[in-house]
Amino acid sequence: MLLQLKNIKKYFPIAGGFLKAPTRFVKAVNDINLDILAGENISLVGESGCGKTTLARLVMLLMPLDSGSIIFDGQDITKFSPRELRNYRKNVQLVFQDPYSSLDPRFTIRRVMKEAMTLDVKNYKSESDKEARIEELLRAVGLKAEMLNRYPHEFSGGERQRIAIARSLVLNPKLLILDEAVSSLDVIIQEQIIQLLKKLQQDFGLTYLFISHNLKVVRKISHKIAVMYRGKIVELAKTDELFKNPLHPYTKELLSAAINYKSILRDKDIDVSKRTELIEKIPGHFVLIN
Amino acid sequence: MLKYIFKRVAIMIPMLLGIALLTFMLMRLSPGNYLDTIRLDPQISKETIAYYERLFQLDKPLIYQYVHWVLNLLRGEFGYSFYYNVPVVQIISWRLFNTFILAFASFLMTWLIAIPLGIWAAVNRNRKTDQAIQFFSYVFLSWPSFFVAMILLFWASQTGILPLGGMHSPNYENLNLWQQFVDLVKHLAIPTIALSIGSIAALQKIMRGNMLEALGQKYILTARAKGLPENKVIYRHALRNAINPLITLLGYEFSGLLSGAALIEIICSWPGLGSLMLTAVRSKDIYLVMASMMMGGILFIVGNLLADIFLAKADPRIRYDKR
Repeated sequence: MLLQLKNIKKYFPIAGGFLKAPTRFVKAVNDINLDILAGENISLVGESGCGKTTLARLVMLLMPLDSGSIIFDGQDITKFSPRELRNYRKNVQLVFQDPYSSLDPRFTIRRVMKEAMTLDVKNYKSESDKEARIEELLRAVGLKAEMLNRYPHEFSGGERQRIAIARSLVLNPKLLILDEAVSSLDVIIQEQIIQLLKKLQQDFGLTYLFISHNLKVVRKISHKIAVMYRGKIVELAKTDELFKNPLHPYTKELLSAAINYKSILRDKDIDVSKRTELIEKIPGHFVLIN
Repeated sequence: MLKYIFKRVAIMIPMLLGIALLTFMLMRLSPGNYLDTIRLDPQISKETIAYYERLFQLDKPLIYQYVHWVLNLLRGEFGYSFYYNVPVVQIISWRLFNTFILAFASFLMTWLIAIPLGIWAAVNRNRKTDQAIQFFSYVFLSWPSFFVAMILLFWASQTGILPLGGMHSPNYENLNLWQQFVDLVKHLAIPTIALSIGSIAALQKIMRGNMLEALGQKYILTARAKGLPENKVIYRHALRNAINPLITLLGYEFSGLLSGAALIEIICSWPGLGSLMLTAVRSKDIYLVMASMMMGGILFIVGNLLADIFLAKADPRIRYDKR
């Protein structure tokens, strides 16, 4: 087991009422359990606002958890000191949705890549080590070495996303979280990046947590899919199984919208209240029911 | 880049001539000239006044006077001061130097205090320290600098810790180099603080705002996510991206160095360009005014040019040359 999320919660207060005391909460991540095995591709799907990105940031501990624990390689990272946390972040890297704003505009690509290397003194002793690794990574994502002295604004969206991926691999992470990493790209580049990710997984033995709202993309890349709705995982199954046999009403709705472009009109709201829990209906296929 | 700088310097010349023309017209078209004050004196004969009128060429048409001045400028002559009866350059140069000392001291103090303060406030946003800084910024922003200067002067007169004005003590000539420096710093203290305190408050606010904007960017999250220590995130990524508007501001500050200090110079009787210009304008000492204006104009243009150059150096997205 590489990563284990245990009952994690994150509520955002909505200010209001007397003296801006929080009266209600957005339950962005509400009691989520998820296990990720090494070498596994797991995808998190769901509509915008369902808490996918919050979950990704919680895994990196870029914001504090409200409750629950995150076990990585047998250690509870929520109890880490700041120094240990930085070490942990080297093992887990995040690729953001928007390749236009996630690269510092003042840094050349070479500097972007090298900066992360300074955090790993063991593997990158000399300048030539660094240069060799940078070139290797750039080749791996299909970019040319002469692009290294350019600044982010001189690249197209697809190229930037490749840079962001190459950058995230600098520290040899075990887990790569791709937060809508291909969503802002057009379909052809999307396809290229997906192929690239598959290849990188073989070459570097990565584990992916792939976050997307796009089921077509998810189907191509993931082994398992977790469907998220209003801060909860409502269904979790192997990719084929989920597409063949969706059990939860929200999953059905999502699939019909994504595959057939048909939206189902809800006759009643989907219940994700406290009384519901994730149950293994068919071996390996979990669903949230009352 | 060199081509661009050359172009900007070339544009300077017509701009400066324009500034000079405007100043000249303003001075000459307003009623009266330097000799009018002398005319009031019954002891001076009409012949003498006519002689001076010819000497200063005040009897010639305006456009002739202006062209004559420009031609002299090409030979490196800024003209004579009517009032002091010496070449303008002589008076201006040491006054300019004094103003520069004061302006530079206040500039250093402002930037050295405001920038770290702004960064600190941004990093500790909405905590008690930040709130305190913002509160005092409002207080100091709403105090006019001359008022601060007066309060400080009053305080100095009561305690006697700092001198009440001027630039040097009477026994300045007898001091050794180190003592002279200390003496100068003591005289500098009040005008510098009066000049800086409002600017610190303003600049701090600008720095804080820019820093907050930069800290909210995605690449800051990226930097944190890749495991960089927080101080590197702040100083390497956030600060570099927050600095752009401040560089532009630096250009304006540079040009404001001379004019901004005038009021304080007069209050603290600092022998700078500001008080000189005031007397020059009032006594219609036209060439002295024009030379001072030229200095201000040059500083303004050079300051903006420097700011643009720094901006291009600091931000790779800004290019002036089309490649």
